[in-house]
Amino acid sequence: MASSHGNTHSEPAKMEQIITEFFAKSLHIILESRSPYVSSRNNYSGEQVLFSPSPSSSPSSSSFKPRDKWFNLALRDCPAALENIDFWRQSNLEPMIVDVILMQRPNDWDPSSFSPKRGLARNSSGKERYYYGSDNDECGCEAKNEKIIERWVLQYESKKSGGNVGGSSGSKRLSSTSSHALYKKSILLLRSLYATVRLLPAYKLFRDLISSAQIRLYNLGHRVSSFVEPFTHREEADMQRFVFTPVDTSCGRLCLSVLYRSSVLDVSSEPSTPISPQIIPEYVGSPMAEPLKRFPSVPVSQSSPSSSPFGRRHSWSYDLYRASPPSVNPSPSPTYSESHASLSKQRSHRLPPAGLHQTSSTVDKLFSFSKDEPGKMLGVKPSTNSSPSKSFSRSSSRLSFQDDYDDSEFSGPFIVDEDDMVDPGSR
Amino acid sequence: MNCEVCQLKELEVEHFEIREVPGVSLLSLPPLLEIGDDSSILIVQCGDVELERKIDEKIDQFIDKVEKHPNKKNQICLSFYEVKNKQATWFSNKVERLHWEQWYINLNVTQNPKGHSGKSHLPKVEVNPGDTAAEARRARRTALECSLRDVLFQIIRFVNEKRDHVPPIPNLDGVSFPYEITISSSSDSAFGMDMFKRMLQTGHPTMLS
Repeated sequence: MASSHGNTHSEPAKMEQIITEFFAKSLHIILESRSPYVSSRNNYSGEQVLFSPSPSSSPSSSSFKPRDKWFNLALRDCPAALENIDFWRQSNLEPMIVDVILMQRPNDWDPSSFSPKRGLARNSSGKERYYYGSDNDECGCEAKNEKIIERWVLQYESKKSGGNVGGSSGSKRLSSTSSHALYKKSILLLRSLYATVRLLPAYKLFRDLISSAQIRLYNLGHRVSSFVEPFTHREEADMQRFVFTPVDTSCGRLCLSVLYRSSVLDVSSEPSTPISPQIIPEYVGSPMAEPLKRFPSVPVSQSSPSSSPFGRRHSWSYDLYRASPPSVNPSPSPTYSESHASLSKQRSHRLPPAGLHQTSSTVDKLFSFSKDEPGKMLGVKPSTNSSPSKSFSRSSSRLSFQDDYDDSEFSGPFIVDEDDMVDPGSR
Repeated sequence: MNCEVCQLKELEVEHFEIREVPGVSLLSLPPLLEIGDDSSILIVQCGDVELERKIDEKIDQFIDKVEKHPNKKNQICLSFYEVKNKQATWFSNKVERLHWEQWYINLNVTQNPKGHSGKSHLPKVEVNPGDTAAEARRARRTALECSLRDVLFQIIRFVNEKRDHVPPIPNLDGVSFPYEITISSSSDSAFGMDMFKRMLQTGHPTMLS
């Protein structure tokens, strides 16, 4: 009985560890492709993901720590992710919300006056944690215009039922399969996430920021928190949703979704020189940026509607001069599905400054809203299982599990005998 | 075990674009998406040198087949399998493979270097008579990029929706699952028979297109 008791407790601990690492890995994947500062600091010359953490394939052994072996997905160091994950290592029942923020620099931006700046705030309950990753040396000033272009929501919905913690052999077999299945499905989900973050429009902005030597008038920041104010319906109407199929476990399920703006590509076509106070009404792109070459998916301005490269409405862009939301394009089909969480209605503080509603410039369109319409709102309901404060007692027990179930031990169930392995690709 | 089959949307490519439009599965092939410096089209790369070599070989075979069968619809099948039993005999060393997932990459290779044919499946792109050939090609590549993105999203949706059939991951290093790549064209008598044969071997397939 004692042995079975120990075995039944090890399975929940494994699953808990998987979920915790899943949160960390997800955050890492997202911020790795959205945080320009981190990439530039790492001498980013092109993304590489090493799915084999072998020393021969890693650029430097120090870049890949044992934790990187999780989910067979070794990524480069991402301090932004590491700094923001501590809270969820202690309590993965709290949702993790990652906002990717497009920051437009002020018109009187002076490169010489910049200094790195970070914002770290915490509310009185200690529940929220905000971190503005706009720490690029070129954009240390406080951005006047911010717009959330992506909102990633990751949540582990725990079942309220007792779960299978019984001591029978049958339940042991079922529970032992659960962690294996969870780990496998987590791998698949993370790979899907990895691909999705690179297919969304914001990735193009990220690539431009880290690869271009030109000084941009925009930057990408991020905010990681467990509680956010939901978008207004007008804001959400301008966004598209993609919901990853949840990963069910015996004790709950992992849910991941993203709300993203499809019309962020126009921003990167801004000229690299500071713009004049008078906003250009018909902004397509500067000759320096070569909009035709870089952004063929961007619709043309109204002044030249016959330009063929932009005649087709791209699946991620739409006519920004339309007041109504874009029609649904099923081809890429970010799944339109009901949100699995709800949030009490909160006052939105995401309205842009009134001064932006002056022209019909492309950038300004990002900060304008369509007509107010009734509809659902995205929200995240804080887990009812969580206490207002961090569960420190739980975290202490979790630490002991982390010590006992390190990566090498946990990867054991998936290691098969080499005799049973077949060389990939053999015929 | 059911074999999940995914028929990817047909891509219309020109001959010189074949190498730029590889469709890969997310399950075992690490997708690495980059935007080329000189092109806005997505370029899919892999971090596994051996895998890239194999893919290049298959692409070479595919190009040869396209040249032999021009203006034909071509198909690349990426199939993942499990080794069911090793049956080594005196005369053969046959290994039984149980396919559990198949991806069909459908390509329509056009031979017209100036643009798509009249039967193009690409979204219609208005081209002014005065546009230069370069602009026309740029427009066409834009449309191809959109189609390729759609296909990649199709892959992501499939991978998300179908997980239960995936066997335990046998190899944590590099490519996770054993796989094979076959090439066929609509002119081949085995174009449909090959798939039908696999259906018989692997049981009732679940089609997802």
